[in-house]
Amino acid sequence: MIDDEAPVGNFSMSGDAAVQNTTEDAASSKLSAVRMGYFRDDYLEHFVRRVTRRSPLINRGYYARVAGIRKAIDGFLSCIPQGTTAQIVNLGSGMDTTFFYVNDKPQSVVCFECDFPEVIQRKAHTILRKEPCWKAMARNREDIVQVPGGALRSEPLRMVAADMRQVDEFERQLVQAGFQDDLPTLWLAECVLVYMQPLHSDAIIRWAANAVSKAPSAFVVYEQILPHDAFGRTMVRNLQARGCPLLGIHEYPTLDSQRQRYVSLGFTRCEAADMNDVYDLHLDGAEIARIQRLEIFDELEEWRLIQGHYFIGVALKGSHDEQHRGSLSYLEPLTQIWSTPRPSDTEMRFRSFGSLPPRPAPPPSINGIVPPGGFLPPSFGGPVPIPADPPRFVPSGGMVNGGGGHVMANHVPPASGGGGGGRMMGMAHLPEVPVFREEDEAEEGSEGQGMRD
Amino acid sequence: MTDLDRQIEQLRRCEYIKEAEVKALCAKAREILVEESNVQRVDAPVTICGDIHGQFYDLVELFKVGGNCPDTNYLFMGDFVDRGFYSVETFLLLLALKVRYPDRITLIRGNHESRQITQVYGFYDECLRKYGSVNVWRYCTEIFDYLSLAALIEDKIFCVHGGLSPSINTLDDIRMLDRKQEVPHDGAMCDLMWSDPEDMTGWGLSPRGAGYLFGGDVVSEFNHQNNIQCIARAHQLQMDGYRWMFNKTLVTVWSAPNYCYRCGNVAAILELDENLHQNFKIFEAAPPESRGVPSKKPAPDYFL
Ligand SMILES: [Mn+2]
Repeated sequence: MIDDEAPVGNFSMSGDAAVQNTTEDAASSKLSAVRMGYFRDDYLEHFVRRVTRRSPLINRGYYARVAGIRKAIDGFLSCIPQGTTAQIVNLGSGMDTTFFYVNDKPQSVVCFECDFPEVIQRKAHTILRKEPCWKAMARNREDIVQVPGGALRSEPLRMVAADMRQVDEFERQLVQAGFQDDLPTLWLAECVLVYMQPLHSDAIIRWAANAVSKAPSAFVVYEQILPHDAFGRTMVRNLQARGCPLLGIHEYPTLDSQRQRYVSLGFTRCEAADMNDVYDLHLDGAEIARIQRLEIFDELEEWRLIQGHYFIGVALKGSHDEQHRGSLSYLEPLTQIWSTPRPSDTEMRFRSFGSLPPRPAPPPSINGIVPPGGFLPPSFGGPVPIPADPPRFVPSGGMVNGGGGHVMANHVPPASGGGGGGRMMGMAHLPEVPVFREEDEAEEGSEGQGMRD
Repeated sequence: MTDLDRQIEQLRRCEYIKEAEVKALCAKAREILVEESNVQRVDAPVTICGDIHGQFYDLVELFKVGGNCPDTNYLFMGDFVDRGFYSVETFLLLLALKVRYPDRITLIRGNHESRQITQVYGFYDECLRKYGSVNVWRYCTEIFDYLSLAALIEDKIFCVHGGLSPSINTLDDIRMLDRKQEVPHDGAMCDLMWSDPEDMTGWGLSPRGAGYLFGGDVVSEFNHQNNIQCIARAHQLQMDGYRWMFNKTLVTVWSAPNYCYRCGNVAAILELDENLHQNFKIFEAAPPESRGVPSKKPAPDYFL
């Protein structure tokens, strides 16, 4: 983990290295969410060195991010005419598994993964060692080409090892990897541009907006905003202390400035929503109801704060000809991505009601994960005895007053006009998941469950 | 100097005490807490504090701002543990003060004083890490079952961690609960620790998945029925440290500055004088240099 290597205040690690390490943190956190049943990703475990259990807020937030990005990707792919190959260019791909997600779809998609050579090499090394990973790239491992610099190339996945801040060199390598200017293209930048000087990130966006001249394209971005309020100031300071300062956040501090940014750099329009809106209004309601039952969640105020400081933007443009006519061509439906809220449900929208609804049905099983009806399992490292039936306590002294006699505690009659009896709406029972190991200094030698390079 | 005074000194320096000492301390605390009512009576003047969540050095700030115990009479409204890095030291210091000065500090239970929640939000892991076994966690969670559910200041101010329950009309309803148990998943005791006030009428489902949302009319009815002026509660982060609602009939007090080392909020405590006049004191997180050895537990989490 990044934390072991770069404690707070240790600036010995170069900025680039610290930023490169953010991908490890992201992958490990996403895996925590996967293991808790938030979303499915069969490939991620291969790219995580050590499994860490994350807090419910972090799990839920990565769920929202993955679900939001997947919604954008799925929306894009659903716009592509049949028989047309699409390109996805993952900028700062790190250990991200978008390629595998897309590759499991029937559609014809070519993915480009772009990152620093050190990151690409590590990922390539892992892919070649893990059969499910290289099998996604090619039927035979021998069919995968490893180019000088370590990047892997096959038909569906082309890696590009480059410092994207050198746009000319980056473009040269991307074209060499087979990038075409006549295929519908989705650019993807998850927590990447904000770590760069705006000079560099703007150059990348401007270049991307012009790189696909003969087909429509979309740019999907997820990153931080709002550096000026109390939460934002603390976020800026904390990430600075971590060695990965948000170099671009002050130049584009708001949703509006981000929208304008993509338009002024060459896209026709940009739809952007903060993650509270994405989660509350635009992700699948049934899925939200399901994942909200996975874990106890006591971080609501923080959740609002942190999610308000991230956004997903979807910038769009048609081919050059179409753009001149003001047309987004077949990507037009994507303009609605953050426009039509899903039907509101009381659970999400803080509705008030006169009488309480009946206890909801138990959550359905999904992806083979059956939410248990029982108690929280011991979290890490072996069983914790929790007496299912606590020793009976005989009331005496101050413990029970007002009445004297023995009182049955759990059978308080509902107050008149009140809501009535028990109800457990979305109160989560943790699912049976593989045992996590909390990382910490005392357990340095312990084996994680993921791979170790 | 007694053992207890020495332990308090030690805990004030953020040094945790031996497992055997924890066991003995909890045994003594149990004798005191078992005599307390579910709705513990508290005299004014008193200083009301909200969530602390293991932010030990900020608790030290709180004592600097509010005065030391026993000079100041304190009421802590729960959520001593979880989230922060020093739940062990925080809870044991408060518990040791309770044993040493039982009439000068009142501790009521929050939703995090629970076996289940502490396994998710950090206290369990911290005990395991600091003591190498779960014994201390077990001693502490057993004591959690003895903490009062609420407090009543001069018969006028009702204090509770979360809020009201549709199963509770009167303070006597609370007094009749058998509190010596793990926080249940539903019912009156659960609601007291999990519910939140909301600008609405009546009751609503809580997005937390436990407890309820309750509106101003519910508060007005409860206060009238029980002849109280005001409900003081904690449980919800307030960026300004406190927040009045419902025409000053309910106040939320939050005492963990820069919550989780991430939220950037200030904290507050609420001083009540002998006439129940209110004075909020606002404070910020302890400066890094006062935190002694830098924590090895590093940066707060973000989505990276
Ligand atoms: Mn709470």
